[in-house]
Amino acid sequence: MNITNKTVLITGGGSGIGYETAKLLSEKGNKIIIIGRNADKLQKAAATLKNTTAIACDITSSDNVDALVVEIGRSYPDLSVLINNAGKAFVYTHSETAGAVDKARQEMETNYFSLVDLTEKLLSVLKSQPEAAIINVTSIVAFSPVIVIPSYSDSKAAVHSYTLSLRHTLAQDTNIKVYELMPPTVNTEFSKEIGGEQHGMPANEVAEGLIQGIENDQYEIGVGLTVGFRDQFFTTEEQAFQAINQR
Amino acid sequence: MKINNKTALVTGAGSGIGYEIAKLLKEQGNDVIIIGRNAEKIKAAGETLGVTALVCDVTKEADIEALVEKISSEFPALSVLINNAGVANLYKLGEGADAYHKAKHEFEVNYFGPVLLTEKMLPVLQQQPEAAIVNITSNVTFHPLVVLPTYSDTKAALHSHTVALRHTLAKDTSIKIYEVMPSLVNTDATRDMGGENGMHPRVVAEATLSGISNEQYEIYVGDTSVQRAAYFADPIAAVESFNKGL
Repeated sequence: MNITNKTVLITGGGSGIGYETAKLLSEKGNKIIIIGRNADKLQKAAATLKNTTAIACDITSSDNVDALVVEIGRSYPDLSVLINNAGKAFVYTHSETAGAVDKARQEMETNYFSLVDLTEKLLSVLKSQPEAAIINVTSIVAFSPVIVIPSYSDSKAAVHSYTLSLRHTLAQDTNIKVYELMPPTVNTEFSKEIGGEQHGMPANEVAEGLIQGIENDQYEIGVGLTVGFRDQFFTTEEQAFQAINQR
Repeated sequence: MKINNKTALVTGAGSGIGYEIAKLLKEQGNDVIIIGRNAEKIKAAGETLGVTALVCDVTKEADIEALVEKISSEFPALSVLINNAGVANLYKLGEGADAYHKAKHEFEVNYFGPVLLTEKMLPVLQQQPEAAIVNITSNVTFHPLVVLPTYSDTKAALHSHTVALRHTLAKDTSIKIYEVMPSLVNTDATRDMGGENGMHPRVVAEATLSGISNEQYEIYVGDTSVQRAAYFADPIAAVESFNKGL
């Protein structure tokens, strides 16, 4: 899909992959709306970008999502690209004292449930465009979990599964194309605890890979190490698991 | 792992796969505890099978706490936990589908329930010379079925959980983690989706116990092995052929 002169909404657009994607897309002549919980951070981010509006919204609140959808319908009825990028992760390993379920609940809220909620509520506006796209940002861990981010990995496996169903189902009676971006570890604030600063891929390169993938109609967009890892996973799943869990 | 003379807990065992696993475990000389939400149904199953039946809703933290306390005091030899309870909504994604609320309920039963129960049971399982956690997932873990979209997501999440847990617990415990991935089974839960064409749940129970005794950590039942091979050969094409006509 051609991605210029479009109106694009990006969740978690105040920093990291979301911000870099907003930056590149705004430079390519798109109108951008960035969404995030922290109004201050979001405003500051928007001020550094062209054609970009910030709307504070906690996507884990269904009421916030409803208000956002009303605002989009009123002020941005030509919205044609939704980028579900917001994410949350806890670094820990399973044990009798891990408290995994509380962490998993928070991760699923941000990474999965809110994405399902927002996507369904924006289908009506996306369907009314001549062409439209939904882009879900998942991860290399959707294929094989990393044991120090176990329930984050589970949430990304869930979003990967959802993305496959959504792509198949929307292709039957809409013009909405469904893409998935699967980055490896990226050098962002988000991945500091798992060594993102040392061995993470730069976020702007992830954004470049994403835009290239969309322009080439590549539905599952692997960037950086994910490309080789995906091949390895489909050759020998166990070795791929060991490789991704080496650090 | 050999499963006889063990104490085993099976969730969602009032009917279907859980009931058949409980029945087979009992026949093979194990002490069996079955749990379920519906008091009447689980008690009746307990009486028919001659096993201990407890009322427990795995979506309620207080129920799980009470269960764990009872197990620790009355069944301290518990060495096998079988996470079988599950719910599914049959629908397709789209405007007005309300996938959000359907997913929330499915995740409570199919994912958060087993994650919580498993962690709470780790202290008792760790005390045994050998122990096993068995998660019942599905052939939809590796490619979704578009008419069970969010159910598929729950099973993808539980599969991911199972893989991470297996490797983590292997480091410093003797707990082994198994996953059972059946294709369509003929149970009350699958009546709306052509379940009468599915396997008898007894087949899944037999495969589960023989898989565990053969140390097979991922147990594929029915069409799953063939589907899984197709998925690994060409994941994109496999999703389409699995969902042909849907």
